Amino acid sequence: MTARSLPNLPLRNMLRVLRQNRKMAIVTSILMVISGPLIVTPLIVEVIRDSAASEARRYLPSLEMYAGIGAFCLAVAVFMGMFCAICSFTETHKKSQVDMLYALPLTGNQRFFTDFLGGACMYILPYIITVILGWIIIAIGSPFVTPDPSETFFESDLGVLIRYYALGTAGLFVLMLLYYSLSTLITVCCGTLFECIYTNILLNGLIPGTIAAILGLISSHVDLSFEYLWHIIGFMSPVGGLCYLIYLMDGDFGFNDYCSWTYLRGAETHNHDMLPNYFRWIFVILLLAAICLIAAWQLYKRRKAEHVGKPFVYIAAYYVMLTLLTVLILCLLDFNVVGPVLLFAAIVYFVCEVIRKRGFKRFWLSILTFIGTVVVTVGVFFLVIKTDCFGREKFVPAAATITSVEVSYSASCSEDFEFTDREVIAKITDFHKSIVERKKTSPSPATAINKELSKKFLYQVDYTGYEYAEDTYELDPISTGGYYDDYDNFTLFGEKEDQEDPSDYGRYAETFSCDLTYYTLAGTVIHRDMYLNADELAELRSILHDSDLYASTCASALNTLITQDVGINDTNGYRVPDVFRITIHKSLGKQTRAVSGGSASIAQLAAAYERDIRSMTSEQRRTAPIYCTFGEEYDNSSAFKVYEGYNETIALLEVWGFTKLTVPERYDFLDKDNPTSAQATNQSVLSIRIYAPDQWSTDSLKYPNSSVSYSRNTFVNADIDGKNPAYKDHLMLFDGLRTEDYYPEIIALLDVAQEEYISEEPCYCIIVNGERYIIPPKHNDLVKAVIEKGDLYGSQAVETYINEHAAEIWPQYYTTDDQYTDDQYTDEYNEETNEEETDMNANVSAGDAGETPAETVSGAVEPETAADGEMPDTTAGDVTINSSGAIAAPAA
Amino acid sequence: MMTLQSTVKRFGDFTALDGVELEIPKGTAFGLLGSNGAGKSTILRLFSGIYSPEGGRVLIDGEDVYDNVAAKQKVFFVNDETVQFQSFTLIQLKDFYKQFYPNFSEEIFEKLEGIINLPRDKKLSTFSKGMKRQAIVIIGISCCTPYLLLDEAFDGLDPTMRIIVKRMLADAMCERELTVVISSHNLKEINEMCDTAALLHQGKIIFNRQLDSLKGTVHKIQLAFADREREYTKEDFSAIPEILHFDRNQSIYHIIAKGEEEDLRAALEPLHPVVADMIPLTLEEIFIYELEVLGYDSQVFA
Repeated sequence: MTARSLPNLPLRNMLRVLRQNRKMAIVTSILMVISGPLIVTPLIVEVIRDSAASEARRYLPSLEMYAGIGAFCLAVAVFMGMFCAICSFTETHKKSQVDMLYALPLTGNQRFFTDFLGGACMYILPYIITVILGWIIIAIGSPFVTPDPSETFFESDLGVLIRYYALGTAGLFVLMLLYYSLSTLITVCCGTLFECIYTNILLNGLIPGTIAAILGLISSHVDLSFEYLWHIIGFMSPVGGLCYLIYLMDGDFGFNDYCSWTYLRGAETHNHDMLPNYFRWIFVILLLAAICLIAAWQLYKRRKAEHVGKPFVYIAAYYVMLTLLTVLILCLLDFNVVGPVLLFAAIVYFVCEVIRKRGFKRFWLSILTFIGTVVVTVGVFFLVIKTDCFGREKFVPAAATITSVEVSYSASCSEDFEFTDREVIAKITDFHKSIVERKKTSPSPATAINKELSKKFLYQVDYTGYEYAEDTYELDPISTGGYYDDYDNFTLFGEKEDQEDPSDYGRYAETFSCDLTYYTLAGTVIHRDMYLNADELAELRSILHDSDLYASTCASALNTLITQDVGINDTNGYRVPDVFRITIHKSLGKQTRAVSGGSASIAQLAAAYERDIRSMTSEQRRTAPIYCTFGEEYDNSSAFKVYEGYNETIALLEVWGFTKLTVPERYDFLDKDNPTSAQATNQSVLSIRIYAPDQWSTDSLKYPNSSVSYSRNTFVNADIDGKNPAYKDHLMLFDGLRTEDYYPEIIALLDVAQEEYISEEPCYCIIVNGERYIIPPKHNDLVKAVIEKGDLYGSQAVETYINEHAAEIWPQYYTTDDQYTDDQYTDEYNEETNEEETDMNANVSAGDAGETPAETVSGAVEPETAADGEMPDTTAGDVTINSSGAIAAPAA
Repeated sequence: MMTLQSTVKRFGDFTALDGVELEIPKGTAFGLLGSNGAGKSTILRLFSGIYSPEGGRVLIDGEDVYDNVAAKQKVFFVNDETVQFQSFTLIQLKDFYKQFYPNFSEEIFEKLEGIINLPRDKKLSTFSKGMKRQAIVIIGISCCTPYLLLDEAFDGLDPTMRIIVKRMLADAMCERELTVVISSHNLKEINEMCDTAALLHQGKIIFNRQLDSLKGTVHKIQLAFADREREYTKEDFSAIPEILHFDRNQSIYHIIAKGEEEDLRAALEPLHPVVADMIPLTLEEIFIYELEVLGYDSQVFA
C-alpha cells in the first residue's frame, strides 16, 4: 500500500469546520447575501427616481421597506459573528469533540488558524459576496440615472451613494473582523458553551458601556468634553466602532457642509475633512483585530485538551468582565447613592463568583477581591477627579501646534467661530492659559461668592420667585458655573432651608459657558469646556470680536437670518422675493419697512454690516449706543446689534426708509385708552426705577450685559445682602403699573440710556420694566432733573397698596408650598387682579384728580424701608409713571 | 515502537501518570489494565498526541508525538465517546478521515463495511451506540495507521459483533503488523486479544508482561495437612517468595503466590502437605489479587 500525498491538511480542517457548521453557515450566508441587494436596490432606485423627469417617477416604485428588511438581515448576520467563532472552536468547549479534533494529524497552530479561517469563511465570505452584488446592482442602475449638468459626479446623488457604499462597506468589514477576532479571543478563554455565549455578549456590551460610564463620570467632574471623550469608545470596541461608523455615514464622512456627527471631535456644526480620521479609525480597528487574533492564538497554543469544560480556562477574561461590570455599577456613585450602589455591586459580584466557583469555596477571597475592586476603582476616580484628570484638564496646547481653534461661548450672537489666524490662535491659547492659571491659584471672586452662598443657601430660586430647585449643586474649583445648567438664563437667588423672612435671599454671581476646541497639526482634537465669570468673558470677547472672522461670520449669519426670515423655503432652499419686509428693533419698539432688491439687498446689508464691524473695536462697541437690532427682540443676546457708529449700515437703513427709533415710539404700542388691555401683557405696562451708583452693582463693570431676563446682571446692593424688602416688590411690580403719558424728563433720560456702557466712573442705573440701562455720567444732570421734578405720590400710592395687599394678591409668595405651579399662579393672579383692578384704578383715578386721601400719600413710604434706612435718598429712588404721567419716587 | 519515558501527566493537583516507563513493540496486541482512574485512557491520549506530558517523553518510532503531524499520522485513536461527528454520515466520516490519513484504504473500508453492513447515508446521530462504535472502528482500521489505539473499544458491541471486530483486528495485525493498544475493563477480551498487558494502578505500572508468561507465574494453591489441630500462619510459608493472598477454610488453606510451579512445590515440600493442588490463575484473578496487595480490595465492601 502506498501512501498518498496530503498537502493541504489545514485546508481540509477548514472544510471540516464549514461542514460541521453548515446549517449556521447557510443561515448566515443567506441573510448576509440578500442584505446587500435589499439595501442597495432601493437606494439606486431612489437615485434614479430623483434624477428622472417627474412623469417617469410615477413608474418607479419606492422600495424603502426593502432597505429596512435588508438592514435587519445585515444586522442579524453581523451579530452571528460571535456564534461563528464559538462554533468554529468546538474543541474549546465540547468535551465530546476534543479527542477527535486533537488527535487529527495537525499541529496546534494549524488547528487554530484553520478553525479561525473556517469561521471567517462562514462570516466574512458571504459579506464580500453581498458587497460585490451591491456593486453590480449599482453598476446596472447607474446608466439609468439622469445626470444633472449643474453637478459634478462627486456631488451627484449617485456619487454620494458610491461614496457611502465604498466607505461604509469597508468600515463594516473591518468592524466584522474585530468583532470576530474578539469573539475568538473570548471563546479561547472560556471552557464551556454557556460561558462563551454570555461572556461574548457581556464583554461586547461592557467594553463600550463601561468606558462611556467612566468618561461620563470624569467629564462631569473635570472640564473635559464628554462628547470628545466619547470618541474614544469608537476606537475601542466593535459596538463603539459601529456607532462611530453610523455617525460617520450620517455626516457623509465630512464631505457635506453640515456634518452632524462631528461633535465626536468636539465640534457640532463645523465641517471637517473626516477622511483622515476615517482611515485612522480603519487602521486602529484593524490593529485591534490583529491584537485580538494574536492574543487568541497565543492563548490557544498554551491551552491544553484537558482544559475543555473547565470554567474560564483563562480566568483573566472572567475578571476583566467582572471588573468592568463592577466599575460600571460603581459609576452610579456619581449620583450620590453610595449605599444602594455598593450593595448592588456586591450582589452582582458575589453572584458571579458563586456561579464561577460552583459554590462558596474560598468565598472570603471573593469578599477581599470585591473590596479591592471597589477601593481601587473609587481611588482611581478620586485621583482622576482631584488631579483634574492627571493635569489633562489644565493642559493647553502650544499655539504653534494648532491648525485651528473653535470657540463657542454664551452670549455670542448665535454663531461659533473657528479661527485659523495665527495671531488670534496665540491670543486664545494665552487666554486659556491665564484662565487655567488663575483658577489654579485662586478661584475667581464669583466662585468664592458662589461657594460661600452654596454653604449658606440650600435652595435656589429663579428670578420669578415661584420656581424652586431643591438641588444643591456642587461647585467645581475650575468651573464656576456647573450649577447653572438649568438656569443659565436667569439670575439665581438662594433661599435658606429654614428661612423665615422671605426677603432674605442670596444672589449667585453669573457665569458663562465657553467651549474651546483645538485642532492640532497632528490631527488630534483637544476640547475644553469651562465657565467664565463676566470679566473673563469680556476678556475673551475683546480677543475674538476684533478679528476678521468675527466680522465675516456675523455678517454671514445676518444674511442667513434675514434670508430665512423673509425667504420662501422650497426644495432648492430659501428664495427671497424681490420685495420683502425687514424689521428693526430697539428696546420695546420696532419699525418695519418694505425693501426691494431681493437677496442682493440682503447681501448689500450684510456687506455693510461686516465693514461696520471692522470699523469699530470691541472696546468702542461697549460704550457705543445701540441704534437698533436685527432679529428676535431687542434685548435678546442673539440679536444682531447695530451701534450708532455703524455708519454704512445705518445709511443703508435710512435709504430703505428707517428712522432712528425714539423713546415715545418705543412705547407707542401701549394702548393708552384701554388700561385693561394694557395690563394684559407684561410689556404693556411701565415700571421704572432709578438707582444711584452706590446702590446697584453688576458682576462686572467690563461686561454689563442685558439679555432676555429681567434685571440680568444688575443688582440692587441691598438685594445682595439679602436685606432688601423691596426685592419682593422688585419682582412683583413688573406688571402692576401702567401709563398713558410720558414725562419729558423721563423721555430724555431713556433716550440717552445705554444697554452697554463700560466705565470706571460711577453711573446711574435705570431699570425699565426690569431691564437695566446705564446712564453715561455725562447725563447725570438728566437723572437729577427727573428725580427733582418727580411728584411721586401717585405711583407710590399704588405700590404701597400692593405692598399692603400683596399677601392677598399673590399668596404663593407667602407660602412654603414649592409645588405651586406657574399655571396656578397665573389663574389665581388673573382672578384676583381683576377684582383688585377696580380698586387700584379707583385709587389711581383719585390721585389723578388730586383727590387722593392724605393717608394714601403719607403711606407711600414703606415702613420696613424707613426702618432700615436703605431705600434711595433724594438723589435716587424708585420711579414709576402713573397713568397721568406722574412720577413716583421715594420721599426725601 | 511506542514508548513512554518517565512520563508524568497531571490534571491540576491530580497526578494521572507518575513517571511511567513503557515500551510497546511493533506488531504487539497490547492490553492496558487497571483500576478506574489508573491512567489507561491518559496513556492512550498521550500516544495519540491529544495530551502533552508534564514530564518525560512520549514517543512513536522515536519521535515525540505531541504537535507532530508525521507522528500523529501513524496513530489512530478510537476513544470511548460515541457522540462525535454526529452530523456526518458514514461515507462523510470516511471521506473526512481519508483526507487526514495518507494510507487510508478504500478497499479495506468497503470490505469491512460490507461485512458489518452499516447504513452508509444516514447520519451518525441516528446510529446506536454499538453501530457508532463499529463505524469508527472500521474507519480506524481502514486508515491503515501502524498504531491503533482503542479505548473501551468493545463497549456497546453485541457478542457477534465483538467477534467480528476482533477478527478484523486480528486480520489487520496479521496482514500489516498493526500494533493495537486496547484499554478495557473486560479482562476476558484482553485475554483473548492481547499477547502483552500492563496493569496500572494510581498512575504507576504494576506489571508489564506477556500474558502467557504472566498466567504461568501466579498460582492458586490449595493445601491440606495431616495435623488438623495445628493452625498454620502465613509466616509458616515464608519459603514461598511472594504470597499475594492467604486464607484458611477449616483445614483447607488457599494461597495465591507468584512463582513457577516447581519452585512453589519445592518450597512447600518441607511442610509435608497431604494435598497440594496448583491451579493457574485467570487474568481476572491475577488483576484482583495484584490490586488487593496494593489495597484495592473488594473485601473492603464486605
